[in-house]
Amino acid sequence: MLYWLVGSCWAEDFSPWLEEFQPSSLSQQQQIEELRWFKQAAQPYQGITIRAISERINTHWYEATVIAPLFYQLTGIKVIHEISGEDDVVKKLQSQMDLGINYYDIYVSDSDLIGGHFRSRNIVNLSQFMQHQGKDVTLPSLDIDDFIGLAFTTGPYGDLLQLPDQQFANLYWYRQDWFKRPELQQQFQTIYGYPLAVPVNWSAYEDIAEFFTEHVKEIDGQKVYGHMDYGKRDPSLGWRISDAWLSMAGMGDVGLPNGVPVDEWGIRRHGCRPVGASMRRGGALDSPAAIYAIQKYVDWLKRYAPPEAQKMTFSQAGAEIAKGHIAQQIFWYTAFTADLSQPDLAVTDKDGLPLWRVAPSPRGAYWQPGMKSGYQDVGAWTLVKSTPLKRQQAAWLYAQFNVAKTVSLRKTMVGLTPIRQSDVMSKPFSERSAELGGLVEFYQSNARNEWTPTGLNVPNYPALSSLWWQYIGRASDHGEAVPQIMKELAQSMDLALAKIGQDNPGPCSPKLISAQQAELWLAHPGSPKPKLANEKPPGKTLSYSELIKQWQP
Amino acid sequence: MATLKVTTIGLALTLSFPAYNSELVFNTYIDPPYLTEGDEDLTGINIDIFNLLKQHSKLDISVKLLPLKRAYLIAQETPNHCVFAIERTQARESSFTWVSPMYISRYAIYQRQQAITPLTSIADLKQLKVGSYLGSGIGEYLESLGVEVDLAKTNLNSAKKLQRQRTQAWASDILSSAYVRYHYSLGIQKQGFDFYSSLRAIACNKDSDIGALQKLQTSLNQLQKSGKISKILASYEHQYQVDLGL
Repeated sequence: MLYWLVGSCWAEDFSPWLEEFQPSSLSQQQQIEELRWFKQAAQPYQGITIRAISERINTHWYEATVIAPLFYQLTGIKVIHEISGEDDVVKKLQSQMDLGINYYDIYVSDSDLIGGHFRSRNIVNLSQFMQHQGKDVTLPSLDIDDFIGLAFTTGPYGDLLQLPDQQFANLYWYRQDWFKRPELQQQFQTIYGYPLAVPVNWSAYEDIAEFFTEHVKEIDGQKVYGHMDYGKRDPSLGWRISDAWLSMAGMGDVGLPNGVPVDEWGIRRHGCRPVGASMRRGGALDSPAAIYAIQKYVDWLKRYAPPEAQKMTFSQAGAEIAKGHIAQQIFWYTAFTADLSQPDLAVTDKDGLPLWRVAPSPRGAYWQPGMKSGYQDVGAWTLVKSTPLKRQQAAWLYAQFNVAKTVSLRKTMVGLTPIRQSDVMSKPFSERSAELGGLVEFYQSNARNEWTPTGLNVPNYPALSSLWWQYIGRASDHGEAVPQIMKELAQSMDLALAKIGQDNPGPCSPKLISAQQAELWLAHPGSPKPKLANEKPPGKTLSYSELIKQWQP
Repeated sequence: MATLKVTTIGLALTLSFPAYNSELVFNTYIDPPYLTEGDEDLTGINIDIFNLLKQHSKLDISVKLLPLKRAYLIAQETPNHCVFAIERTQARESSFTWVSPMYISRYAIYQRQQAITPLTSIADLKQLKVGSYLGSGIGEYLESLGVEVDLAKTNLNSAKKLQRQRTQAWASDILSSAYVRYHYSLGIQKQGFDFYSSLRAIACNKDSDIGALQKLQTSLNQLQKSGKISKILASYEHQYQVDLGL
């Protein structure tokens, strides 16, 4: 099929783009208008080669292998879109910001770094850029208000610092077909005294994990496990914990997108200043709730997951549930939804429909209403000030092409990491509800606002995030005692905060408050919270249909 | 700059330097033009940077030439031994204490001039059998993408395998490929397909003298900020007529 637009003096053939970028929330005429705008706006930059980098998920693979070549054909701007590990992306970005060397012209950087971005003044303020130096290369139909993740990429003074490119959440994943088996339902009810269904709290999750690993043991001749996770002392272990795990346990304070005054990293703030992570400084990283969270993570990994999981990294563990021997996973990234929706997998039926579902994550014993419910990753286009202006402008065109309405619905259908309200509510996305196991319902609901990234409180994500894996790995991989590790981690976090504040003074820089007895803070309302007399309340489950009502618009 | 120091040697966070008095050994390997063995001495980009670092930090550091795999293993097993300069990757991150970054390496895929398969994206690499060399982070990276990788003993050997049609492509750092093209006639295309970059860094044993490593990191940061390391790289870019896009 050919798509011709007859202009005033020439005819343009946009067939390759219009064929690839279907479906779209735009009409064909509107798509053509956007494509023509990109072509014209890019003329001053023809022949430039720009470098972009992003982490390695299906969405970015589609960008690097399909969108970038089509962008080049349309604009004459060549893009080397590199795909790498998240830790590598973070290190390169940090190095570029610190040294001022232009390694890349644009990054897809997780919004978790925003606390450092607004303090460092190394990142281009996109609100200002779009009005001034980037005005001529800003798509008139970009429709910023249509993006669903702006709260996570906006600085404390209301300026947009990053433009969302993809979003995915951490949800509870389980084998609905197994949970429905009458003999398993009866067996579970007999042992635990309540129905086998979706766990609402960690007690039920633990019971279900124990049930499948220690009581069921085998299904259809295959060894099965009631839990899956990973524990190798590797950078990816850090995200497993810092991606809201302590919040799900209930360590921090109430508040969205992040707890106030104590956030999900256990860092207390006064105004915009981080003032400490240890209980002695009003933080909660070594509090009973934090110890409970890590202890549960370690215990479940060792008791209920496949033995090899302890030595696995994030990447290695990601493929495990597709093998069909895992009953549930409390912490599952929806970025892998497309990978689990293939018809030839052990977790899909003969029609390719999922035997699994995603549901709201169960919550720990310390969790309270009004706290964040989980983690959402927002990979967002980020310009660094050290990049020469002309290259920033060319890179900004590429960034917008990846999120323009001409492209974004098709990209959403491929990668399942939606960023626009118009895509989320579109007919083509809604129609995929049955095959996506709850993802559509999640993104069409307000729940997506309760699953949030690391926030403004973390003043230097690259510097602080390495502490997580280095310390937690000693518990998961080396078997050291959790309370002692959390005490040391909290002290190291305090030291690191102090150093960041000392080296980069400013109105929102960290400044430790003086240490007091931890008991004084524990007696204080909110986080850090005193140890509960019973950290394992009775297990509670709900049917999938009941739970999914939480996600009704 | 402190953020870099914290990032790379975060476990040793202190507000002042601990004492240091150890001798450090930098195990390195032939990797022209980063490191070449002349008639009398070692030369190359890494040696130029090493000399700057040694002078600036005033640390007692010696260089030992070994095969890459052995250099890597010794640094993993022996306190106060480092391997330089290797790709800093997520898979390697927890095995060392890093002094980083020395510089960024740009990688491209090269084919024989007589048999060029058009490449528009990294997805196209899956059509090819791509050569790399043992211990190269880039070989691991390509394998992780599902590309068939053939590992030779050295980068030059990998280039020669392409010439002899034992592979269909060669993945190489672009400065290294320019060096090979300058010194050997292998019939390999001049302009490759750019696809990846990696930070190169000094990887040190985790039980090394942390004070010495902090001192080294501080010196590296200051040399980076001063532009002296960029100047070294630029001189080699000019010599071999390549553009690292920095």
